[in-house]
Amino acid sequence: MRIAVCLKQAPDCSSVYVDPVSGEVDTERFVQTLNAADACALEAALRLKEQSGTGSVFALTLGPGESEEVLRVALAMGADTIERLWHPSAADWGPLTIAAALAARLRADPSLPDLIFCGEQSSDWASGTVGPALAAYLGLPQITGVIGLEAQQDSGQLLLRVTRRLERGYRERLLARPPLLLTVHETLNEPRYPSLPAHLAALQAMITVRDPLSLPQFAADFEAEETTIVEVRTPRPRPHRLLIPDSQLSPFERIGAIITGGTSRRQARLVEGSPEELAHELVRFLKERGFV
Amino acid sequence: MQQIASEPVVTQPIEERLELVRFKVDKRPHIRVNTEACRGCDLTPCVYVCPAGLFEILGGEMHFSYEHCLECGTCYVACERKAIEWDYPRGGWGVSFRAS
Amino acid sequence: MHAQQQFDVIVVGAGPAGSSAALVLARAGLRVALIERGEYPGAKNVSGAVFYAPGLLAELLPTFWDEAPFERYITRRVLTFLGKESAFSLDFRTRHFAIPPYNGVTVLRPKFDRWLASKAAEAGALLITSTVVDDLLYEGERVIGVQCRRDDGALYAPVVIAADGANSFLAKKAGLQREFSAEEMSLGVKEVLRLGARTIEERFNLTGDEGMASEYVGEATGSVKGGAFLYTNRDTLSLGIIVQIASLAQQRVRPYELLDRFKQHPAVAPLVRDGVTLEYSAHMIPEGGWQLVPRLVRAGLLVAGDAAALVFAAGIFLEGMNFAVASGLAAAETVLEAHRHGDFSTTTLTGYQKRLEQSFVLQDLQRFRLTPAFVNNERLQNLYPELLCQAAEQVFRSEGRPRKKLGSTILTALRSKVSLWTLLRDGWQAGRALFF
Ligand SMILES: Cc1cc2nc3c(=O)[nH]c(=O)nc-3n(C[C@H](O)[C@H](O)[C@H](O)COP(=O)(O)OP(=O)(O)OC[C@H]3O[C@@H](n4cnc5c(N)ncnc54)[C@H](O)[C@@H]3O)c2cc1C
Ligand code: SF4
Ligand code: SF4
Repeated sequence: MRIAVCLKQAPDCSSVYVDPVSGEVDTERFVQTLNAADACALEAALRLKEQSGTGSVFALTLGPGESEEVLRVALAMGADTIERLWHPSAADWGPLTIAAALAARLRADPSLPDLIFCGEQSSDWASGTVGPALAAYLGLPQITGVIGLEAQQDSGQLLLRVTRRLERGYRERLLARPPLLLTVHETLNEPRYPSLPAHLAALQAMITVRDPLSLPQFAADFEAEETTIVEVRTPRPRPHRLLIPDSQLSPFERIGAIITGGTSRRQARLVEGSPEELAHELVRFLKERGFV
Repeated sequence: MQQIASEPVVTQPIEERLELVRFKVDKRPHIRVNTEACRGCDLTPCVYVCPAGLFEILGGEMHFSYEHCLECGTCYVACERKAIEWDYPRGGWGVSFRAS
Repeated sequence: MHAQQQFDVIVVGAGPAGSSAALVLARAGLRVALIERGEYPGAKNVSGAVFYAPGLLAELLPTFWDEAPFERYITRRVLTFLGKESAFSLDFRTRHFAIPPYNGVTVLRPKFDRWLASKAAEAGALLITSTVVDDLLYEGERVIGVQCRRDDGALYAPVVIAADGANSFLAKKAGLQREFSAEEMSLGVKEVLRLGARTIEERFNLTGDEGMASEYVGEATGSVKGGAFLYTNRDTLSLGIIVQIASLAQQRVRPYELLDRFKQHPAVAPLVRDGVTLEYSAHMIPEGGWQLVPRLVRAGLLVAGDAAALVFAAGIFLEGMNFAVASGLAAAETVLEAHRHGDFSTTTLTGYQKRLEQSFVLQDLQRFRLTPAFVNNERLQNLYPELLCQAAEQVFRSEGRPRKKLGSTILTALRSKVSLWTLLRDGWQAGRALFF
């Protein structure tokens, strides 16, 4: 099984500082790392490969020289091959052009990989577009927002049981077969901490760099670009009542307690009866809630 | 000599300051406090010396959180009862200064 | 053993001590592993920071003045005695410090350490970041490598340089350093404030790349033993306090409250006005001086920089980076010599100690060995600065009444607070600590 993972270097969330007065982001204080969701995508790919016992993982990034760091992380974690795409003009590319370049690179091999993993979104712009656009360019089915993934063999073929995240806390369970593209949410798994020999080898590895403009299948519609930023401002979330968790718990457990303890499942009630009864019931309900 | 009354000093809450610092928080705590030992500790030096204000006595109990630790080591030097088990976080985790 | 895990020398810690050592060793053609626990060199490091005697590095790195990320060169040094409501300053400036190699330059450690480590890497050292060294590996009495906190984390080399900073865990594990007491360690807390280059130059009377280093004693840290500093960077200020841990615990004040108090002192507030805080940081400093310097070597191991408590902290002086660099270089030379002879025994490595004894590193520490105790004297910390300010006030006050002469003004102020005998003794100790 051949798996490709698309990675991006992005400022780590905890290093983003927004000036409370001007609302501007202080880019000087960024710490660039492997985007959190992409690390989970890579981890998922490695686990699938290890579980199946055969196959390879190819890690690909499009970015300037500094972003080789993320490929070294990928190599240390266990990627078999790595490659960087770059052209100076790519600094201004939007997600669609980036996806077109990645697609062109993956098409440059004799056949497409069986599975392609991407992070669901990057911590900087969080447009969540590159993965879906890449699937579209490659003509592959896709599942976005993966938060659960299990593989099993079904009459000699790989079958994936996927849980994906929907809005408002809903979940969707799907069965899927390759070829397929998955975009992974950063809660899917905990990326591994590489061993020392792997870390050393990765630090010293040579990294292949390709110019995406030289790829024969690269067909970007630069005109179609794409996103215009009208305004940037900090979100003002609606206040919620929160449960105060035990301070002895680790932050992850505390956040878990907040998430599950602070809200309850939405309740739906199905009322049956004659139109009259229903109308009464409705009026009663509205009165009860103080609407009428 | 006549003393001019000092302006009261307004101090910025420590949490606000720590918001300016980058932390990559590991799930595993790198500092453990043997809170049993704290019960008979009168002076509680850790509460005063920690530059991140991570030690707090609430209702007679020691509460400690490691997430915003600046990794200075002051607490274990100050604690005479050796109640603090101190280690560095995993490589690459914990605090990362950017402007200091 | 994997060939990949075998090096000629392992340096733990990519601070100024470790990176300078690694640079020299890699240049000499050795296979060097430079191990750093931060996600990048400098991520865990805090200094004021004036890097004194930058010539030490500039000699090694010809491109230093073009490339090194230093902020300003220091041409103005100020020492201020703070009273509760007043301040008495000695202000020194000279153009002699404005000529390369400057006497001191301000640096920001995350940038500076990253750059210095990158120079070591360019010279051929393998910079291994995000990796904690947990322990040393031994064969009999000899150190033969380090254990890193990763799977298969052993790395081997006939000699290890522990440049792992103030906590000095490796030296402690190797039985060279003892546990610290809260009297000999200080805590530094610091803020970086953005002001803009123009404002800094106007406010501190500087032109171009000139900078100021300003130290404060007395009311700067209230009744806690210690001092404060304010240094100019290109467009930010570094401002902080350095306090003895034992004293902080005794007085039961929190360091960040002291820092705020210092910032709001009437003599300091106008200097930091409108500064936007960019970062808050803290670090320990081994200020015990000569007393705290451990045995520096054992077979296969040398200890350098803060890890060996090689910090010159004598009242208004706080020099550690230059001591770290100098000790790193001396350690590197010793390792090169040991490699030439293929002998890593304690006897050969003791050459490191000799090198330090011949340089300013141990000479300054020894010469000023009484100073730490002297500057932590309560009267020096609080009483004398306050009295100095009071005396100055008497001198300058013009009330339309006949004035007393200066000498009697000061003496009266002093005599009301301390006995003549104490005064003489402090004077004698001041002399011993600083002058002869
Ligand atoms: C507030 C403050 C102000 C100061 N002001 C000045 C000043 O103005 N001028 C001056 O010259 N000095 C100053 N100093 C002192 C100066 O910071 C130190 O003396 C200097 O940093 C020592 O350098 P070093 O290389 O020995 O140690 P460090 O700079 O501490 O470097 C040690 C390195 O080792 C790494 N490390 C530690 N343990 C491990 C491990 N187990 N595994 C892997 N890596 C490890 C650390 O992450 C770090 O990068 C100041 C200090 C403080 C706290
Ligand atoms: S100083 Fe030590 S024993 Fe005392 S309260 Fe703090 S951690 Fe506990
Ligand atoms: S190491 Fe420093 S910041 Fe961390 S808990 Fe101890 S005193 Fe506080």
